[in-house]
Amino acid sequence: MSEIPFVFPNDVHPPWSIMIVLYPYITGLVAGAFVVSALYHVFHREALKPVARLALVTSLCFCAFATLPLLLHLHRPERCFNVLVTPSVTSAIAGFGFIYSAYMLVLVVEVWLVFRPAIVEQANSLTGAKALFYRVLALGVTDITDRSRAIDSRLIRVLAIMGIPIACVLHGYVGFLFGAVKANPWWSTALMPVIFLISAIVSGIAALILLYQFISWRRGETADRECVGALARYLWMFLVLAASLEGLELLQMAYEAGGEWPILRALLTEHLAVSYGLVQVLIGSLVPLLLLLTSFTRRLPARLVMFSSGLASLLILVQVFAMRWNVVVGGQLFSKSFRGFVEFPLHWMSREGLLAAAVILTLPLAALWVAGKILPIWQPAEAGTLADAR
Amino acid sequence: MNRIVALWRDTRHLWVLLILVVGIGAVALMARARMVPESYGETGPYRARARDEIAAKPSVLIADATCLECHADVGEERAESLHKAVRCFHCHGVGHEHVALARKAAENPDLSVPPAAEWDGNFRTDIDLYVTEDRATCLACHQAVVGMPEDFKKINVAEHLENMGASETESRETCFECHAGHDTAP
Repeated sequence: MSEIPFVFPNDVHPPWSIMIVLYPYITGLVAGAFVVSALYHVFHREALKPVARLALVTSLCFCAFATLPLLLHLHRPERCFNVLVTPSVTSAIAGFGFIYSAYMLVLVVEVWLVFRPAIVEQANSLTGAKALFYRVLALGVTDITDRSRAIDSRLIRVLAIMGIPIACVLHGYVGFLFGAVKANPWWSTALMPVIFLISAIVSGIAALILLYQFISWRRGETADRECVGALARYLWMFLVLAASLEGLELLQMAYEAGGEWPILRALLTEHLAVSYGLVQVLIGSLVPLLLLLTSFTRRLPARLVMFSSGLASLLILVQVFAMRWNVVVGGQLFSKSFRGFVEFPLHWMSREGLLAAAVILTLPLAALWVAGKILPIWQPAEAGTLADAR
Repeated sequence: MNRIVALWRDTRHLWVLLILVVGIGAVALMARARMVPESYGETGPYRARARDEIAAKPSVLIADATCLECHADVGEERAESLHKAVRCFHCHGVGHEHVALARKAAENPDLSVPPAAEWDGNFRTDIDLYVTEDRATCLACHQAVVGMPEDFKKINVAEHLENMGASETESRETCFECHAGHDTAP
């Protein structure tokens, strides 16, 4: 019937660049890392103690850069505050601004309370400019009593409890931003917020396993097998959930075979064959699901469990990026006429190019490195914090 | 009394934190009060006065009336045609340079206005003015797709060309073997 592809004029140029792929990716890492810290602070999973602080600070570092891709995408980034200053009740992104701000506040306060004993200690033991820096970080209060530690610990737990729903809403909301676009059948599904949330948790846990293993290796220590094993088992469970939800959603679309299915089938089989079929499903989901099974038995050597968990985490991080790519880019590859496809422009050296994307992805890691210089993230099980409070 | 002093000592850092958070919130609210423009929200989530300001700006769109100042014959061709609803720039480009040159030429007979360029087949083209005797122009509107209005003239190209016995079925100009662009009568 169609000799020439029919593409609506407003579909010719895909407006959302790789920056919009990074935005849910980074936000997902924030939410996922926070869930791990909450598993320790709220649900008392002692096995996760070695990564509890790392998880919290990782969450903060990624959160600090979560909106940077959006700012780079905006042609007038200085107008970003308009969504907060004059919010429209029907604007989805305005809602995100408030949820993000609330989450950032909870996260900053929680991190501050967790590290206050260490900050105060530094303020009291150092001299000169360094002492001043830590005194400012301590907000001028440089004495700690046992009772204040206990109060802080209770408050940390309250904030961690509050943070769980906010982190879930934060990333569920990112899914909602896509799920609410009713003109796009690849996005418009009520499952989208749930899928985004679960895959966010998956990516956060995977990132923590890798970070923990990398940092342990750099410090010449052995990563705690119990901790990595527990993380790997959580990762396996959430990966099963994520892959099932994604698969079921696709199955439903295929089985319903509505008017949009022919274009979606062509999208998946021709345009996203590699990034969806190969990377997201095969290499990124099925292989890690098998690799992570090694964490369920104690009979295997620790090195094998560590290696398979690390490899699985790496593959999962690629998978989640591919998933964001397939959603954001895939949804723009076909015209809303359902009759034609467009090309997705990808450049190295532009404001929204691959190089800028790579720099953005390294910035949270650089922030984590700086945070590691200022705060004792890697110190094992210090006095204070959770155990004392309980 | 001692208990109050002890409580103050143990929670001092939290009070400092609270004052800081409330202070930042207060500054943000004050900043907001300054940043919200006057007349914002009177008629919706935008600056109400912006509508009048925008309406007062001169139009940059070349209206059909401007084209018809010189191309009155096209106006006559289209007078009874369904295509009178289609604006000139839809098929021929925005024509800013062309109109500017034509206005200068009207004052200076030595100047000439170059003819319209051959269209490159891309609707995002930046050619100022072009001739679009190209099937893609016609099919941009008339290709039969799901959901088109019942009374809209829509065609299945292959079927239509076969039924009409078109000789050059692959030609870009094939539509214009039988149809004129301005007058829609077959």
